[in-house]
Amino acid sequence: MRAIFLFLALTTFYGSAVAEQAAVIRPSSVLTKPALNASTVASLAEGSQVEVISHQGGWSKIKTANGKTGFVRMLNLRLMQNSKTTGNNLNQLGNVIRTGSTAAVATTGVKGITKEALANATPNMQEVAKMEHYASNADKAAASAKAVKLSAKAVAYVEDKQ
Amino acid sequence: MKCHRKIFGLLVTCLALQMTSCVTTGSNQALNKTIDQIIPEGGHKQALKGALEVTREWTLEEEHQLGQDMSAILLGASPLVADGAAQQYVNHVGMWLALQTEQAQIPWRFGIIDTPNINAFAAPGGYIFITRGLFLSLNNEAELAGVLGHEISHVLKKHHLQAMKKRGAGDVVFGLLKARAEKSTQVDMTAINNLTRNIYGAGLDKSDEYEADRMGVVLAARAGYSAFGLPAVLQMYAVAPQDDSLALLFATHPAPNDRLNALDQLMAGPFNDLNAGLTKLSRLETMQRKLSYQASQKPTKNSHRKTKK
Repeated sequence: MRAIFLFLALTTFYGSAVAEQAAVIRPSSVLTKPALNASTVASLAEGSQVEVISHQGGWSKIKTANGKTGFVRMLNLRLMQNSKTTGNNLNQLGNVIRTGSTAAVATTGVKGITKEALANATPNMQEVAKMEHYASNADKAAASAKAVKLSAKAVAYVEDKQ
Repeated sequence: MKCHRKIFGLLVTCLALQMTSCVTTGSNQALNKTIDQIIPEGGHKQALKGALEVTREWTLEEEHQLGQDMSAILLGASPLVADGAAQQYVNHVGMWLALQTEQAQIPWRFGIIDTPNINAFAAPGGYIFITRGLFLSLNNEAELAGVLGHEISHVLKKHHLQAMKKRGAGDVVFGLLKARAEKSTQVDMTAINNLTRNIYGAGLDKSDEYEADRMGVVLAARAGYSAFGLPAVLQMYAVAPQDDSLALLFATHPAPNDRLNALDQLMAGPFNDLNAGLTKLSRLETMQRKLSYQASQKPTKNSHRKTKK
């Protein structure tokens, strides 16, 4: 029963709500739509706190302290640790690991990749060899990308400004 | 005899000079030929050839060999997820990203490691790994592209090989791989295994991580994804619970907000179009459902104990 509940809880959160508290690191406009030419619903001063609802490309959908909802540039926000809300996928996974799936992990014999596990790991060449079986190639990868309408673009590497 | 020695000394000097120029121009084959022609058989010849070997650049095959050994340690800690469709999926996504690099010819291999810990790894010569825990935590395929793009960049920039060299172990590692390739006999790989454990446990230089972030966002964008997948993953890390599942990642990388600050400055100009590229593709969610820890309980032999509760 608990497993079913956890399954539902986990699937509900995949790719959906974030609901985290964030601080605005520079003065930002809250826009009605995720577009630079959209109209402004609110202006946030540096240091304002908002609630992040979701991400969309380089945008975050947020709710201001006054209850206004809109979009700001994702990188204008820094999420705050120890926020009370727990919509984050990592928290969900953490809950699953701590509660529901500890037994499942034990049954599959997974030790995890921790510093200790690596220090004691013996080489497993059979697993490395398996990777050949799953390998893609240029043609297959391009076909797979085309099937989901991904197309290559020319983008130059960015240089470190420091 | 004295004269012989003088001539030999002269030859060595000439060779040393030529070696310097060859190392910079990369024409090691020519130098090898010269050694064969003018140095008599014996200890000197082997020593010179050995010295030449360690100064040259590693070939792609040699890097791939080292990558296999390093990957074997990671997979020794936790094996691959036993799901062919999911493994092929990350290989298609990863290869598509790799095709956007300057080194598409590398034999790129991608794998999902069966551990709930949150992390991703690279090994020389084209090996890239993401943990099942991180795979399940991703919100969309643009985030997967950002993570894989970051790891691909470690391979392109040879960061792990440099880490070996910085530990003063480049020559030893090279020698062991060479010995194994030439002799069919068993070569003791303890040194390489210990170095690998050390490098994955201690992490790369922080500057290498920042460089991989800078390149990773570009590779994702080149492949047609939103460049903001990696920043979104870093946002997720910034508020992650401080527990065992992220301990190694946090111990081996700069703080998530420091990485975000660095990307923030760099992305402001070139990635002004915040809507560019694709973000969400349903095929990731399909694979996430397959690998969900809850879904996997059904076929597990002992799972009936749990579900009856």
